[in-house]
Amino acid sequence: MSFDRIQALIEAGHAHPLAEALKSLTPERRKECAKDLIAYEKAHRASDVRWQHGEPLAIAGAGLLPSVSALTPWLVRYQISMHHSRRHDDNIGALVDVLRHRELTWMPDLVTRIAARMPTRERWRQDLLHVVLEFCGDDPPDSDGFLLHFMDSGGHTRWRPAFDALIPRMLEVAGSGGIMGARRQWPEFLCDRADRQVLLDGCLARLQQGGTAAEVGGFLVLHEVVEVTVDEIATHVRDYVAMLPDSRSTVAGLAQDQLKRLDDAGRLDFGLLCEASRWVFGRTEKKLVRAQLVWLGKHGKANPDNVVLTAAELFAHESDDLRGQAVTLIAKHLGNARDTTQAEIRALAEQLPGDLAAQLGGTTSQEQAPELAAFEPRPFPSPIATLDELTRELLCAFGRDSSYVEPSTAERVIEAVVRFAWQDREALAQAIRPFAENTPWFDDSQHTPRSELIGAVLDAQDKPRPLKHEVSTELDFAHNRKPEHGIGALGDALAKRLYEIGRGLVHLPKPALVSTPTEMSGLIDPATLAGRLARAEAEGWEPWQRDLRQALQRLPRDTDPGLFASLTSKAGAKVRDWLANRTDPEVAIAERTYRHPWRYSSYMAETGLYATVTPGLEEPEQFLRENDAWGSMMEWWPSSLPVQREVVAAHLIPHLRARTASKGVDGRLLPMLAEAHGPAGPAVHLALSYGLGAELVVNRAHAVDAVLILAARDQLDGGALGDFLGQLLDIGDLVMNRVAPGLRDAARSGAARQIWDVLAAALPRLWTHNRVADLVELAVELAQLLQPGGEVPGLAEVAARKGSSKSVVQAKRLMNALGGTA
Amino acid sequence: MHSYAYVADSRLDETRRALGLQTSGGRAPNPRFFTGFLGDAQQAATALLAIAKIAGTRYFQPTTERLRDPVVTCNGDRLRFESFSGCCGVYARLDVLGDALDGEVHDRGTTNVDVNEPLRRALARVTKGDPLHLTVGPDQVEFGTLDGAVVEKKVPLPPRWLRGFAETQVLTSKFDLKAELSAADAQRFLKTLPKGRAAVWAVPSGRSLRLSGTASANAVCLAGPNRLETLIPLLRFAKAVRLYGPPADGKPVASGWEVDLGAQRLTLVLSPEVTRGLSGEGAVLDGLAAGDADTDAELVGALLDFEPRVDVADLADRSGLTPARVRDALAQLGTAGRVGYDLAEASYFHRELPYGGIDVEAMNPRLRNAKALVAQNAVGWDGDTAVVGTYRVNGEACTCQWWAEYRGGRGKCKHVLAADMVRGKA
Repeated sequence: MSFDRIQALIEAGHAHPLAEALKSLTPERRKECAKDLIAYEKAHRASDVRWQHGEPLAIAGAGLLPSVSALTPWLVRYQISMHHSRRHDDNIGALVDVLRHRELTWMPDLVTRIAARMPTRERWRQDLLHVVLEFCGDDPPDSDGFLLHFMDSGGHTRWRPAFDALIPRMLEVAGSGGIMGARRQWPEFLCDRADRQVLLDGCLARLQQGGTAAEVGGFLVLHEVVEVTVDEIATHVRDYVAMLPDSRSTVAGLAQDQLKRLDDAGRLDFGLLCEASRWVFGRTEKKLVRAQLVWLGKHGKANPDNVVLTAAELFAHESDDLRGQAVTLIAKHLGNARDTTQAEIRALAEQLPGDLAAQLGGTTSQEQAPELAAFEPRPFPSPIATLDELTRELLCAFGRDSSYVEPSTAERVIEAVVRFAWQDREALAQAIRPFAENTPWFDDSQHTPRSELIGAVLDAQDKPRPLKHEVSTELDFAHNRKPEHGIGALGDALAKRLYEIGRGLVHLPKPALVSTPTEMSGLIDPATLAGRLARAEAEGWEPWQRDLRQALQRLPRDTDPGLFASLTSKAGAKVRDWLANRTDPEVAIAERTYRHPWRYSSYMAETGLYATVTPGLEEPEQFLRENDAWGSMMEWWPSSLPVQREVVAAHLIPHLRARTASKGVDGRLLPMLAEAHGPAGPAVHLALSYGLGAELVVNRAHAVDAVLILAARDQLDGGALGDFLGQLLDIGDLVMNRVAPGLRDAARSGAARQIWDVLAAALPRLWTHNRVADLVELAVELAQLLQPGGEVPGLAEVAARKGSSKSVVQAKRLMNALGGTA
Repeated sequence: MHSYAYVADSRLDETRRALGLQTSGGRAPNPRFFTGFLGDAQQAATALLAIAKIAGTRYFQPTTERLRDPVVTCNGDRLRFESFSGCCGVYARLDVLGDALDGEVHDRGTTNVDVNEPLRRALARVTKGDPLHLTVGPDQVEFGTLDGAVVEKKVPLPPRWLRGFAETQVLTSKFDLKAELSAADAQRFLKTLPKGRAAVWAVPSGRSLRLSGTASANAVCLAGPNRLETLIPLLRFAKAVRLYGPPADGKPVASGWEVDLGAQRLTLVLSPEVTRGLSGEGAVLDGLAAGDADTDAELVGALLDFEPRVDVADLADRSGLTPARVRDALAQLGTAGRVGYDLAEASYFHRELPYGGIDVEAMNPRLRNAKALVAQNAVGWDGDTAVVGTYRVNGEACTCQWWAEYRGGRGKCKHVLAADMVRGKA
């Protein structure tokens, strides 16, 4: 039989005739055909149809290839896949049939090598698994890939006695826990099959090593199935202790339970119990710590010294609730302890808050409240000096991390583009080229600020085509430009300003922009603007219309109109007119309901607090889902309207609200708002409230920065912030364990008094909140520090309640802290 | 692939309280460094576990492959255990100082130390602070029967891992002390760190730290706080925790975290971002590009003898080079893995990474490419501006994509390096 016949069978894809043909070959013919097959496969692999005939090729290779080193990669490459389910068994059967017929001496080697090549993460090589199981006999391989495939495809139903040797490796291989968690037959099967000692040993080792939740979960199931006896706990007691320091909370909980069982049987060494307690006290899970404390307390009578010293480990814990419980326990047993122990405890009590330290007869070491870092307005960076610098800034701004563009960078870029375009258009086009080559994806059909910014820069490459006829200074290029959906009034104004620059560069070039800020907040020094306008007047040109409007919006609120009195240009007149008639839109907080346009049922309705701006933003909730944070360049808004931060805040609120349940880095959005000017009213404080509850840590950190900036400028209204936080926490729009750490950070960074105001306003709304104790703890800390006096509505009722729930205990402490000054 | 050949498995004999760490590689096939007692056993065991854990972890794109063993250096008066995570993002070093060691030093040098699962479990079982008998290297009996009975382990040894391990030393030599926390404050701060990958900044405030979104003067960058979890079990024993970092300019940077245990110190260095290895930080390129570094490094390298602290002034004296050139030479030795940097003492120490064939040039493709550009005469000049192909270099800034992505935060690009080389020669 010639290779042509085999080739025809391969291409026809008929497994069984192919297998029969291969089996009928003589050794000499097989040798010759193998060469032909290799040549054929090489050509086939280079062809356009290399994805064809994979399965027959696998069979042909198995029938012909002369060595293990040739066949192993061949079988790995040509998979007989599960997708061809009808023929699947046939093809694998044919493969096995062909291999068996050859009676290869190197079969064991092939099995080992194939097993070593089986993937670990994806377990889709059923064909290889089949070959291995067929030919391994009583000497199974123990590679990770094989074991995981075997376990994942119900290996316990194909078990052979010789496989018992694999059990220790099965427990060892990463990934087996996940399988045991998902296929619960495995733990039970292993429990019946394996030596208990081996099983428990492997299980404990894996629980100590940790891993993903699913991986650990499987071993927790195994541990449960094994039903460890007290004797076994006693043998492995140190292994259980070793699970306490840095394992998952489920594992630590398990270890705690088992050790407790041992102790209940009276067989846990007391020294080890103290050791275990110290490890648990170093953990963050309050539930574990509390259970450990109660357990330790039971030994208080017998070993007062060790118990109090061990419990004192909790003095360094973050939670006052736990520290309080530790203090109660210690106070109970301290009298029975030795004098030296008592002295030691009193010394350690220095770390405690005053009231807790007093319970132990100690005093707290009075800590100095840190000062607020003073706020310094940041000067605007100097303009881009060279074309090379412009190229670099452009590449940086839209380079690797283009999630947001620093507003100062964007301002400097457009300023430089306009200036260089006036000076040397050719050279500018050269400098822009690398950027243009990097943005082949640019689509000018969008009217968002980001797209207009890129468009304006790219427009500067074109040759100018000045308008032939005389134009009015009132010419508005963007007059008929439709607002883009989802970017809001501020985004639209920004987009139109940038569009004007793009069109202006082509049709009506000017020597410079007048709106570039002089301070990072976006503010323009009035004298500088007057100077720029005087220069334009002297050179005989008028600034672009929207450019001038932007410049006006950046003038401080107390600008002296007299600075512009001497200007005779139209621009000068506009400035004077505008300064005389400057008005603020009305900003108000409102509860509004967002309804999804495509759903008429009410479950898509979402009610929340927003700020409305009249005129400008009457329906803020519309931007909750349909805002385009990337295209609208929100990071640029605060510095576009730097003296009306209430308006900016109102426009940011829908986005910040969405960020409480979405990931995405916003940059210095809130700090920019805090650095800006104009009244900081309800909208700013509502924006901060949402910021403090953002999902991403870095966004929350920015919100804390903003709170501190406002506090340093004496513009933080603690009462307003507290009121919003109280409302939002109460209705569940914000989560306590995000808000409380932020407030604590702010309070400990010098804003203690302001944060006390926040808490005093928020707490009355939150007495029924299940996490209110977290805030009360902070309130106690601040009340002890500041001695503010006064009353918090509702506190007395909560403090008067019976019971020892966290909130009641903390409320009592707060009463005492406030009562101290009454 | 790298192959370790140990005489036997490292093991901890729990009844005799004897820890035998096996060695492989370095100046001898199985060097013998130390026999004696190790002070507080529980602290040492916990710290060694942290080192072993980092050696066996990839914090980015975890895999199940076997990772590399830690490296131990005997500097005469102290032992240093170093490891580097598989993702090249976390470097860890445990310095066991003289006060914690009581015994005999047989030899100085650097070698790999075997860490295996039974040893890990035994170390985790250590619960008392009594002294522990420690042997680093084969003990007397094993030494006598060195007849090829070896425990062999094979691990992949990618160049970027090696480079990152080495480069960290040069990178950290530019760090300053940013904050020092008491043990209690450090516990509170580190245990309440929220999750998340994006870089935040830890800013000193009051006695502790707070998280900020913006880099300020004393801020330390913190990306992927889960990478600090290995420190947490040690905080119980800590005397103080110190934070180190380079001057911050707003971009994410590397950070150093040192737990001071008194007679031992554990230092972690984190890369600027979870997805970013320390290997590509380019801190050494400057020193390497300086023309004389090769020969200087040879000269300085020959003068080193596993000192615990390398004294630059003394080396300058002995080699006849200026202190600046000695520092460049040390940086070059750093990339070849031949010195390490101790943040707590702000000095280099001598160690030779026990991996053969470290080719500095092959490990630094940017340097190699820059040299190729110079060799091709690809650097032209337009006034002060170097023109390399279509890219224009002003000082340390370039118009290429690498510079745009990191703004010089990951070392110089090949164009700036090439321009510097040409300028240096002229």
